[in-house]
Amino acid sequence: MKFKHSNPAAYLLGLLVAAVLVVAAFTKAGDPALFIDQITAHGVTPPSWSPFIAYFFIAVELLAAAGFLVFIWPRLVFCGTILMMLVFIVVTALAWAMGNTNGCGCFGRLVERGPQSVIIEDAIVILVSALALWLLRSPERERSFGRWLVGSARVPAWRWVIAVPLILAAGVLTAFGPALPIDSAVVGLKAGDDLSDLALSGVRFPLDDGWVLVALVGPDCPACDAGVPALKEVAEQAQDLRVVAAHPGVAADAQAWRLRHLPNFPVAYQTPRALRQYYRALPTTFLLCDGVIRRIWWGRIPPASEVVEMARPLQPAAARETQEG
Amino acid sequence: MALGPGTDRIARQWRRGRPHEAAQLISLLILALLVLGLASLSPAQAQPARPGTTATPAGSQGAPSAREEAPYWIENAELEALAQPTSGESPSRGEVFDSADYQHLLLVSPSWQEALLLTLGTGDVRSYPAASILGEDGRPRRVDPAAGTVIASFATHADGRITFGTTDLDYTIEPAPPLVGEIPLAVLFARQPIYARRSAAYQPDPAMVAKLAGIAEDVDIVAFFGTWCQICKKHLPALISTIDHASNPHLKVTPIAVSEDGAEPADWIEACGAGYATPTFVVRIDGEEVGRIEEEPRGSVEAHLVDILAGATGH
Repeated sequence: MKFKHSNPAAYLLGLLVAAVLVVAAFTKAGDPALFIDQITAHGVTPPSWSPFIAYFFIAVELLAAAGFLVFIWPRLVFCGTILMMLVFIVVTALAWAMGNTNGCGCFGRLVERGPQSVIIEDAIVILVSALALWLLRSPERERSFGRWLVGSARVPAWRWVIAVPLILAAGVLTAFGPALPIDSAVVGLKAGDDLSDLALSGVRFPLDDGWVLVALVGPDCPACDAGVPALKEVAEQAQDLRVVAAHPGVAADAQAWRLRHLPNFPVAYQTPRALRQYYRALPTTFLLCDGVIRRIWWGRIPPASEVVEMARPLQPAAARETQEG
Repeated sequence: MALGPGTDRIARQWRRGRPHEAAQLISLLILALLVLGLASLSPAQAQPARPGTTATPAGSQGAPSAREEAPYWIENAELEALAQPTSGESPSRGEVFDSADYQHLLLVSPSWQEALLLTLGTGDVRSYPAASILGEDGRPRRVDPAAGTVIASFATHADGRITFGTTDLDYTIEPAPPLVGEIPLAVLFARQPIYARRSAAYQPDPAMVAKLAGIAEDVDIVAFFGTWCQICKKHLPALISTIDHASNPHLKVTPIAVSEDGAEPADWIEACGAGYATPTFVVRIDGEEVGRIEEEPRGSVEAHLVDILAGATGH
């Protein structure tokens, strides 16, 4: 089983591929539901397969990354990576041929890549892996392909120390992600960010003028339904704050939601894919002031008192000094 | 130090392997720095523009700013009201208006004797004489929500409908199905009265109208629009009114309603290479495209149209 396993060039190439796989696995593990939606949107496989495919590839990417870090059975890991990239290329090409140019979702919200980019970049990974396999060629001919695949040598303990926590961390993230308070990190939005570019159809006032409470709601969302009374109360009480609900889909979907709940505020809409970039779970509520996020309530609609208190109009400095004096 | 043949062998392997192990450790350090650097990227740097991040259309005629007073009644073309006679005759359609505070819905129709006001907070339905509600331009005037006669209470349904009934009529308010395909103007005006109102109200530039009246070639303007599209409600009525004022039999408008996903009607979209941006007015002479107006016209619709035809016909 001798081979040039300790070839530093091959190890470096493995680390480069591992870096890509780690980023891909963690960005998807933070919001598996988004990846499932993107697989479904591809339209290549039946929608019922999407959850299995999503979790399967998250696990495979993570195990491959760990395999590169440990550098155990490197040929097997490189071959597996090549196979995985070939599957991605074929699926992307099929979706593209069907007219689907949506991003693959391979890096979650981090990068939006069209089919051309996906195919080119995956092909590069295949070339890198092929080069690494060449570097790991055996000075002797192996007796079987299987033995060639699992050719290995002594693995230092420190590599396991790096790989095992990585797998555990990703496993925890995948399993418990929705319950973890990591929405800001996953979605990439926090207080102070500019959200004035949020495009919603069916709203008649600009979102970057004054205080605006934007509640992302959706169908089959009990928490959204339960939060409607609070939104109504905010719309009724707050003098200088406007409320708008944003519903994924088309105008008819937004109007249907409106007729179910009869809100005293407008119900806007945007395509599910576009709106999905702003939340991990519904409902999600943004409080904006002149388009800038002042507060985000992830996965809930806040009580009216909390919103009204935050959106109190600012008093002129002289008046404040008089009061404080 | 010789501790035996086994340790000597290990020592020799270690000495052989050390440069490679060192290189691997350095490589791992580089990887860790790369990952940390990637993780420290701010969202603005790491993420490209999110899909859908174009300027919000924000209303049909431009959103009233917070400082302007919004009109009391706002057309809601996404909803329609159907009045089904209990006798089984064909239903009639009514237009739905939202109050500016979204507390009321107003239902009106040219064929109805009464206008109906729904108060969303109480569930009441009040009727008013239609003549007292509708202005000369077809738009409703302000009404006193406390006046009128309570005739029913409405019910909401899980499938997104509102229903109520009187002795003679059963009313339903529901999301209006989008129009798709070639739509005759009469049908468009009946299904979406806002287009009829705005076409009647629009006054095109008389100088441009005079130039269009003199066109001798057969011009077909294929107007791609969406009933869900706010700026279409501004520019399509302008086009319709312009062609109507020109009174030139050589000028024809063919309205093509496009689905919200831009996929239908596929044959028209493929034939004209349009429909992805709405509105798009494709100007054709003898079947050949000579120009088009996409989304916003240069100046006014009539001026842009004249400009296109001047370049194509030399007039």
